[in-house]
Amino acid sequence: MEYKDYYSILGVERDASADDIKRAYRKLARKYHPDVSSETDAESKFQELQEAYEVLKDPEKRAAYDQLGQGYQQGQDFRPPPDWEQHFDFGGGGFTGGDAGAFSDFFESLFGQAAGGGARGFGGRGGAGGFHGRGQDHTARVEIPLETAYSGGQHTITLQSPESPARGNVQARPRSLNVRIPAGVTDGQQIRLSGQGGSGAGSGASGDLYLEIHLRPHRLFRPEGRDIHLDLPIAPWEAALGTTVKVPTLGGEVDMRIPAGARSGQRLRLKGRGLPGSPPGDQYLHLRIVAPKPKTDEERELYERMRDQMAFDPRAGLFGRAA
Amino acid sequence: MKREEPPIEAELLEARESVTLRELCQACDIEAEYVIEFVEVGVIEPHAGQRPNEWRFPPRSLVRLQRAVRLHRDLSVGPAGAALALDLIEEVAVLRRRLRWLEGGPLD
Repeated sequence: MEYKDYYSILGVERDASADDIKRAYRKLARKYHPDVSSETDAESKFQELQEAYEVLKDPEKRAAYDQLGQGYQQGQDFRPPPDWEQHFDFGGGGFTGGDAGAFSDFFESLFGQAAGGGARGFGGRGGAGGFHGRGQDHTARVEIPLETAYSGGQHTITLQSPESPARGNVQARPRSLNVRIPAGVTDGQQIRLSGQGGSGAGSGASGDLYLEIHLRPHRLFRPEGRDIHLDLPIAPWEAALGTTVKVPTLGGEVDMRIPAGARSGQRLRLKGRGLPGSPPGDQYLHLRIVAPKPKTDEERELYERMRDQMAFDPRAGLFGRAA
Repeated sequence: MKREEPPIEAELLEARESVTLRELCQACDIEAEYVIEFVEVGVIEPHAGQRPNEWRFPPRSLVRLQRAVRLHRDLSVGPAGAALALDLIEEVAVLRRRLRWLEGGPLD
């Protein structure tokens, strides 16, 4: 397994004081917290930080880590000596803030036995305090294609879900779930999967799994709530004379009438063509007039005739009149 | 051979009228007093009910409360600070999305 350099993860020296470590952790935690950060790998970064802090904030764990890790570099292959745990007692420490269920193999092999009871998914809480019959509710974030949000349908998600075997040693194991996404879910909404959270104790029911849905950015469509926005390029003569064009929507192509005298930036609405719901969203078309480059002499002449015959100054509003 | 299992049905929370204090406690694994603290500083607001045990919250409250609890747990942000952070986080998300559109459209 790979050796983890917890000091370099937190960006502190090996002789850093407890205060330095705390400060470094707090600062990086703010930067990479999945609820705050826009970095794509925030979740794994934050996990790594928590793991590093879990070890370095605890004098006993830190001492054990220092002793075992002498001479190792980040990423180097690491094997702990077979009997090393006998020298240290982590039994009573427990975990206070971290997500032990998703810590690395490296962490597990060093401090695994202390992790009993501390495991949780993203957002859950440790079960150390008190006995509850019902299993814990878990939470996760899931990205789905916009098309799935529109029509609903099956989507497979993979969760780093902590298992809780009888012996108390907790391991994170990826768990795949095939979920039927309800049609009409919008960005940031939650869906609930009944009974898919933590297992209950004894005869207690399992908890629920909450999935916070995020819509994957789409090549064409921009969702905002239930409404869908689309840039619609049109030719200058289509804008001037009006026309009917084919427009893509999530439900397929539709015909759309462009009124004569349409302006660039104008917004046209296709009622009820957004994400389903009550009421369903609309689709908005943002007109963008695109002037083609003349490729032939004839095309160039057409432009020249327009220049000579059309009394049009697009910049008339920029000068003079205000005074 | 892997057998095809039927998909797990999911309930869209937003389709419900409201969630209860009990559901919030369960989903966030926190005590009711703690939820009340978050209500007092405006992290979430009940839209019906006079007393805590009658409170009903808009479904969206759940995601906000979970976030507030994580900010508290992971970054030691107090309830009032969490309320402020959540409002800013939501505003930033909207602005980031708009910015992405303006800077050359949606990304793949």
